[in-house]
Amino acid sequence: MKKRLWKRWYPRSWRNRYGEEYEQLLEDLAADNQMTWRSEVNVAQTGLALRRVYPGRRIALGIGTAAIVAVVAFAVGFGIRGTSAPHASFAIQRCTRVAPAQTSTPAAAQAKAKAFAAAAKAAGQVAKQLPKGSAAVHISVSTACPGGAFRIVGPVTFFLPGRIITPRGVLAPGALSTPAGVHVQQAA
Amino acid sequence: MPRSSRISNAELHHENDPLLLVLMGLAEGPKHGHALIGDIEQFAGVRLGPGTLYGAITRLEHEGFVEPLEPEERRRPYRITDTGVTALLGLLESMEDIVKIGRVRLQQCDLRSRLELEAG
Repeated sequence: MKKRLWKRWYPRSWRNRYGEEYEQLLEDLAADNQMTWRSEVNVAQTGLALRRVYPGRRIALGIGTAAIVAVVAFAVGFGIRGTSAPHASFAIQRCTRVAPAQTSTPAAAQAKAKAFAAAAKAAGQVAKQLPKGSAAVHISVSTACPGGAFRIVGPVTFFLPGRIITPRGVLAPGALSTPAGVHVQQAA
Repeated sequence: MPRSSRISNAELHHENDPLLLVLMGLAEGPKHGHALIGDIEQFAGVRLGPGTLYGAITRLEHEGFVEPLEPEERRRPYRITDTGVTALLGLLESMEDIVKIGRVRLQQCDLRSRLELEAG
């Protein structure tokens, strides 16, 4: 058996304890021409048997299985929703006014509503430009309109059919083209 | 450490059981893996595979029957513990009892003389 190939069969915790001396034994046997195919099968069999009794491996297997199940469920979820094209969605979680606006007159109130709509639209445009892998990234969009200045914060979910998306998206400075007067940053 | 690996007496009673052979090999004195394989082959006529040997050492160490010594380069010798000696003595005595019973029964059935007659 080639050097270190045997390690694939054995649990890590066992290798940490016995690995050095075991490898030396295999080298000694090989030097004496005593490593037959039977010996190699014996090495593999023992490794597999030890995997059944060493706890570290069982926990790792459990975590691995749970991760696979989660990924499959996520992928199946995409299929059920029938997503046919890449798209981004932006949910408004919080909208705060960052500059005062005149609200004492109907016209001022209307301007405020328009400003809010413009800010939301800008947020949607920004969301669509987010790079792949930007699932569930929180962004903050700031915009100033005649009716006032607003900051809208919410999660962006980026859907790609047939792709597994990891929630690791990061907005690089200058990576997005934003509408005039709109500033985007990743929210804390 | 292994999750559960209690060594039963039934396992050790088998004369070719690696656990018993390793204990007997170490009863002579501390040995590392390569020396153990050679020694066991010499006194028992059984050649243990490297995996079998280390599977046995793992279990025996876990049970406290053997203990590791300081490694000589990368070869680590093992030594039988007092617990291991006690267990081995008990097992050998029980095996002797079985041998005695077998001899007595052979005499009772007169099988021995019959075999001797056939051989003669």
